[in-house]
Amino acid sequence: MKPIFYLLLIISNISWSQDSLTLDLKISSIKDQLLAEKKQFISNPVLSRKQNDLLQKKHEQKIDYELALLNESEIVMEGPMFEKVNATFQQILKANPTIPQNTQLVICKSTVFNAFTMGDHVVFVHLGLLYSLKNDAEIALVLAHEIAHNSLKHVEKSMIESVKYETNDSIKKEIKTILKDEYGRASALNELLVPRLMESREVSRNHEFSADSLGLIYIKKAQFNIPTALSMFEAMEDHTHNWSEPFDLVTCLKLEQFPNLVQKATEYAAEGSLGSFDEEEDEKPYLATHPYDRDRFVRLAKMEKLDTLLEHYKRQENESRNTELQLISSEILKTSLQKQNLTLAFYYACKHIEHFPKDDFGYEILTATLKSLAFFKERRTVGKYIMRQNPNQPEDLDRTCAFIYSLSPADCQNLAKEYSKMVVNSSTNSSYVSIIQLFEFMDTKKFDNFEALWLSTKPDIKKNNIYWILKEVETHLYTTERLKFLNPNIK
Amino acid sequence: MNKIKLTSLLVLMSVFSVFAQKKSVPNVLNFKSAKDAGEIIENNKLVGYYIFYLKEKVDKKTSAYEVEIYDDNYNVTKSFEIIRPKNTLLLEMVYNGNAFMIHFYDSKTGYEFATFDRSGKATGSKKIATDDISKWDLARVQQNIASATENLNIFPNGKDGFIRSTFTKNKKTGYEVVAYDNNAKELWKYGSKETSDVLEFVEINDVSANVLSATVSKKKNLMTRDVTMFCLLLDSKTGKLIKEMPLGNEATGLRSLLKSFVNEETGSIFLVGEYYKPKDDILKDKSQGLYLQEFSLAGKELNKKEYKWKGDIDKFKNEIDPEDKKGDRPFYVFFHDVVIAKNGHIFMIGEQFLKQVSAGGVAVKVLAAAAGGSSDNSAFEIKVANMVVIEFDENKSLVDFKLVKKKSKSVILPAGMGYYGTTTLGYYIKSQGDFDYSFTSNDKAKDNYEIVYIDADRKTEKTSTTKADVMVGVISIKGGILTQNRVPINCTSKYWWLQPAKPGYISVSEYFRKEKKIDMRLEQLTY
Repeated sequence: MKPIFYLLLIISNISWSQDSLTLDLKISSIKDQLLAEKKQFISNPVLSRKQNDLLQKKHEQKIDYELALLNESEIVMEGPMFEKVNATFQQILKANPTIPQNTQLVICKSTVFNAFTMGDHVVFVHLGLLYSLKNDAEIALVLAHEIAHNSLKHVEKSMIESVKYETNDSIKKEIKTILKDEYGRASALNELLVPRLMESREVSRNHEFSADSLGLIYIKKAQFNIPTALSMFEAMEDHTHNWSEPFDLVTCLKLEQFPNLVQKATEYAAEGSLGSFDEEEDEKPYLATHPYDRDRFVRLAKMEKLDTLLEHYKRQENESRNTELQLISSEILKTSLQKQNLTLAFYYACKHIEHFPKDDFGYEILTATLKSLAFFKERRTVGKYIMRQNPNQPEDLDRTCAFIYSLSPADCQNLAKEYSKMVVNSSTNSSYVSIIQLFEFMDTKKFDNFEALWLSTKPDIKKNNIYWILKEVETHLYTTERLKFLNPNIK
Repeated sequence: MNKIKLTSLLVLMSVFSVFAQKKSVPNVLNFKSAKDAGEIIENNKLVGYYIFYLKEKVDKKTSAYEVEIYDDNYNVTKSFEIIRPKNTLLLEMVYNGNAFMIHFYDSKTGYEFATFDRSGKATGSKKIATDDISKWDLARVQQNIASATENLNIFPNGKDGFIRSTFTKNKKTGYEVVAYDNNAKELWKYGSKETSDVLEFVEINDVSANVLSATVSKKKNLMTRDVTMFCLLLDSKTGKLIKEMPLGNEATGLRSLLKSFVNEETGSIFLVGEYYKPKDDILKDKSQGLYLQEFSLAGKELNKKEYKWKGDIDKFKNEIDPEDKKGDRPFYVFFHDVVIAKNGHIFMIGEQFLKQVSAGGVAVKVLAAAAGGSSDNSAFEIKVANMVVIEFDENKSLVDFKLVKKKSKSVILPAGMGYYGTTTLGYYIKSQGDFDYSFTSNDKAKDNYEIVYIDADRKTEKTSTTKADVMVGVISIKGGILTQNRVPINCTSKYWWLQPAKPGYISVSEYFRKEKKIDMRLEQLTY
């Protein structure tokens, strides 16, 4: 009954308060909305029947992909952080009645700098992007840009173009002829397809420009400050060029008391083992589907008759930005551990401690991460969970990678001991604190305490998607200590 | 799969997904020839990896290939296309800090030594037709391809060129050392005399700014046991002979040369090896002991010290192996590498081995005979035992003879091999990859060396019931101080293999059959 009920709600365009819905219901409502859209495929009169069949197939595949994305463990759709971003989103919707008011926002648990839409009245924005933005106006510009893609039906247009190419008999014939030839297949295919790729790249760039322009109109109507919003392009440039703010690991981690670690934290070579190879200038624009950030900024600034020098724009932080950032940062910390990435958990925990020294959550994650690192390093499995150095990533992250690789299990234990002092004062009784305590009980061989805590917290740990940390612990203790209450799935 | 692979299986690295943690190679249906991938070496240090794969056939005779270059963290650094004869193999890639030299081989067209600058631009090429390649050289290449072992014939000559050793077709077979600049232009050539009536082979040991040192062995014919060895010193800039120093002779006793080191700062060259009794056969008899010998760069002997196994070396032994008590059957030591630390200490790294009657081999033979057939196994086997580290201080005084315990294993010999001398059998099992020694990871600049071997004893501690998936032994020499560790490595998949990685690390690869992917990661050897 439930899906039908919501379907009816959507069809009859009845609005309801999201606040009253639980996360499950919110997800169900979007899923139902998407399923309805999946069924509501309208043939394009310009296309042939065969082309429309293909278009319908693509349409359904696209929605299936979106449905797969709507996994409770992969998205955020409740809590104060979501509500804050959603308030900005709703402000844009309300100010622009032409936008379908059932358009919904989904925050993806990903540290990647990205936002996207698939043309179905759902806008996806990643935590990594929200983390890099400084104020509501910047966030509004990103959200409005994605909504504009929907309004302008860019996804649909791109799919139609793609269908036209795929069903183009002359192209198909040419490809067939090329594949029949034993020699020079790859070159011939390149020759045939690259000009079309270039063409679609141009179309894609034009889509970006037009989504920027319409997005700007949307946020203007929603009373956001335009120059403040345009400073978002600075964040984009920082991301494109991998620029990062200076990050002092020694101060942030209070390493002065560990002289050997000060050396490890300061020893860093930015270059790869083969030196730095210059990137050929024509490589990037050839492949990039998005226009250069600076070009996009200049177009919008000209449109608004504003200063066209990005450097003159100072990124302003909202008064409430600190609270928002703390919420986003906390989500990113959870996400990093959930994604089994101990480097990102360590990196964002350091940043969290730097910005919010009074919030124990940064120390919780840092200590849990260090305890995990010590265990995995000892077993020589840590390589699965930490990032390697790469000259193409931001320097502060690269430094963190080098530092984490250089830490010995004993270093990790010493640091964890230091930061756990901060966690003891914490009133939180989270899964992360349980992880720390479980490691402590394991290290001190207090297996009775371990058992009690294990049995009481395992469900919560699983729910938080950090059971992967304990999976190896379980196997290890089962084989070494023969603890009967453990039940690992041993290969 | 329980063996460290010296050659990489990074075959499909070109389709790496952009994973920042472990490197994931999806859609791996099977492993192609390991010769398609390998390590990039710069002055004995692993600095990266390459892969080489077919892109398309250009015409009947040629194909387009892609060469992809990765740094030591598996990050894609550069890739470029090259057109070469079809069925071309990439045998070796060496980096000198400014340029790459790539050794291509095609069975029809022969060798090509091509140089590329750091942008992937071809800067030169030197081709050698198949007819002009010595049969010895071709045999060596074929063996390397078949056994998937690395070619190690090209060395950087500073940052401005490369040096290569090869065989030539003299009256008998000779050797040649050839230097190229970064444009593959031949700079100089030095080789055995064309009229030489003996077989001559060369192995380059070290190339410094001014001196190249190599081991030259000479013998009248293939079957003779009468081998004479020399240390060859050449001016690495001009190729002019500095000196060819004989390493003993049959009358005074032969010497083998394990390694030589050129020290430009002290103006000396240092030789390390084993010495033999007069009339002893280097491939049959056990050596009398070890020697350290120093020469000036002009080839004048500065000092020489000899250390007897019995009397000099044995008394430093940290542990007596029960097998050793049977004085008539002492273990032989096969030396894998020599390390000279910055404090002047010299470490000779070896592994004990012994020929013995194989109970299993004999039983199989008896059973086979009883059944009226025969067995391909020999009645003999080689027992491979502990690792050995012999240490000398900066005054060339012997200071330690350490037996590093590991679980011994037996290698059954094929029929007929049991009648060969034990030393020869040492070379045989080395060629078969049956020693537990795997590789030495060098970082001369940081004075860090790590010798890695497999230990079949997989328990993490003697008292522990836990078994690691693989136990790797690591002998670390940091700043001239030796430590040893047993490192447990754990894997998720049943299919895994280990490969050399950047100094201080080991590469662990796992193949997930169901997901058809390979995950590769770097693990630190010691902390």
